[in-house]
Amino acid sequence: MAETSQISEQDARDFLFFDDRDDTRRVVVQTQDVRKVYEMGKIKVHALRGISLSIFEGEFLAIMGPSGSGKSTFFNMIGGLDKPSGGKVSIDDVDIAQLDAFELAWLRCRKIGYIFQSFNLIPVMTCLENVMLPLTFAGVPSEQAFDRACEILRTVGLGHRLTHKPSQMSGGQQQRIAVARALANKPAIVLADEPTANLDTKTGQEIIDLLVGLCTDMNVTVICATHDMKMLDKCDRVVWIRDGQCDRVEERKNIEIQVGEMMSHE
Amino acid sequence: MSNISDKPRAVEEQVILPWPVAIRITLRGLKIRLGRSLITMSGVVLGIAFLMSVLTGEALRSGLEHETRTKTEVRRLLKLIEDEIGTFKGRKLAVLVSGPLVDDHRLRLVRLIAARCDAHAITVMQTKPDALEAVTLSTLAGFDGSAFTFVQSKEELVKGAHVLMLLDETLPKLDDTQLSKLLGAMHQPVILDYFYGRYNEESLRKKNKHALYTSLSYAMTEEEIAQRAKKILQKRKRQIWITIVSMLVTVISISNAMLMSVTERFREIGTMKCLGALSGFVVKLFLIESFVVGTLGAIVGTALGFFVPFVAYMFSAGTSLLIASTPFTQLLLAGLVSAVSGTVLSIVAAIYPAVVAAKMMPADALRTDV
Repeated sequence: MAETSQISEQDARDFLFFDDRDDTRRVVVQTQDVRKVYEMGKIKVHALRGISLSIFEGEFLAIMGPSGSGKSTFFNMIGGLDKPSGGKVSIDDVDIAQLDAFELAWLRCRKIGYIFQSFNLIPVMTCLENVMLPLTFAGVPSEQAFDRACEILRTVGLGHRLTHKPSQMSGGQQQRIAVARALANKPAIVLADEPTANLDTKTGQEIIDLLVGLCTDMNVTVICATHDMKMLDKCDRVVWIRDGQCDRVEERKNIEIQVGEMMSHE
Repeated sequence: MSNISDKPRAVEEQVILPWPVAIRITLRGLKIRLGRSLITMSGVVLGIAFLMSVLTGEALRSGLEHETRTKTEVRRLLKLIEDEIGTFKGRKLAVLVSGPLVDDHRLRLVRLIAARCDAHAITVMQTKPDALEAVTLSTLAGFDGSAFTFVQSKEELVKGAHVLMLLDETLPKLDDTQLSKLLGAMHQPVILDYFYGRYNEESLRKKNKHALYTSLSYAMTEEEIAQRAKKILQKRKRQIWITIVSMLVTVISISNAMLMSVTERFREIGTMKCLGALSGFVVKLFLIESFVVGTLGAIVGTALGFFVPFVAYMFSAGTSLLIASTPFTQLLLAGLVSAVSGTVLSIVAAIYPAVVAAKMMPADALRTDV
């Protein structure tokens, strides 16, 4: 009995890898039939109805879908910010459901950087302190954390506004702080939930360029939930989510044609 | 996942940050959001000030009541004595005591009499509690001033005295020979006994035919005793009720202030968890913050809750009377209770939502809108 179950598990793994067998890149994030049900009183809302996806190292993946499609929920699942109701999320081959609080915190601190639509900066802290926060949580001594935070803020072009509060800065600048904060601990994965939705077109473009540039330099895997068509131009792969299910997965070359089509319609 | 253990672990454990880091972050946070912290603190201040002012008001009122009662009693005693002996001028008094006087009004009576007498008009002998024998005097509260002369023998005590005061409850009941000795040496003695009916005038007349005997205290009838007990019980009930109500108001005021100050920061807690904060660290932050806010608030509140009623009573009752009647030890205790309960309440009220938020999945905490 035990043997057969082992074999079937192995089969399942083979099958999953078979999908990407032509690809030699390493899988960083893998989801298997991830489901999420929210219970609102008596009504059960199926936000995710089973998504299986492999995300590769160094990839820039865009998750697209109309609002309410479950892309933010999916984003939370792969970021270890929420527990799936069913299925499995693995980061570097580790099932995050198996992690205890300390390991999960380490994962969020060191492995993943988060960027949010509404920035989620801590309003009472200065720009510098916001960026220093994840470094502090990682146990970096404050002087080193200070140096590192200054360095990364200079990289995102905010070297001259270290002691300003987020409220004194524009949306684009606030999102730059958020990018700096996400990259402070040199994560392997950056998760961005609609990073450009609260920004105008020009600053949105700047943030995208910044994100793409930094991530290419640092060989970071970027997973970006977005509505933004400009994003599509920069990404390697797009996943469309509709009604909590994976609708389509497209490679960049196909997307470019589609964006072209969309442009031509306008 | 047996295949994982062969490889080096992909995920490590997050470090636990030490208390000093938490304290540094919290204090900075408090300084930065000073305005908001002060508003939270004012909730604590108000709650504790209310509690403390109720307790202080009660204490001051009962203190004043006690003071007024004592004053009336002393006045009654003094009048009784004056009725018996006429003026104090030119009279010599002998006072027999066995130890310090324990109640207020006898002490005051002695002082009042001393103020009315000539210098050295009062002779005092302190006896053993069980026999009429002089003991060496240590200082006796109340018996200071030029009116008093301390003596070591019965003869000296009653020499030329008009009045013999038996002021002490521990004083041995004098037997016939002792009384005869004392009274025989006096001319027209007036015996003032603080206690009711320990001696009777008739038997004293046998020792000195001019002797007059007066009991300073009077026996209460059973009805009076019952009434008094009922009054005390009513007062107790009222005090307990007021304390409970004010405690409730304080609990609600403080927990509301602290709950608000934490729940409005659920998003911040969620963000911190996204950045790798451990739940324990988040709780630590709020523990320190609520401790600081709660302690400062409780101290300010206690001070405010003491001084406001105190000043109010100062105007209505007069400074000297109030200071004389204030039960400071009781108030110190009330202050301690207020300050400690303020701190504890603040911490409890802040820690509960902080633990809830810290235990949440970050996505839930981030979704929370207050």
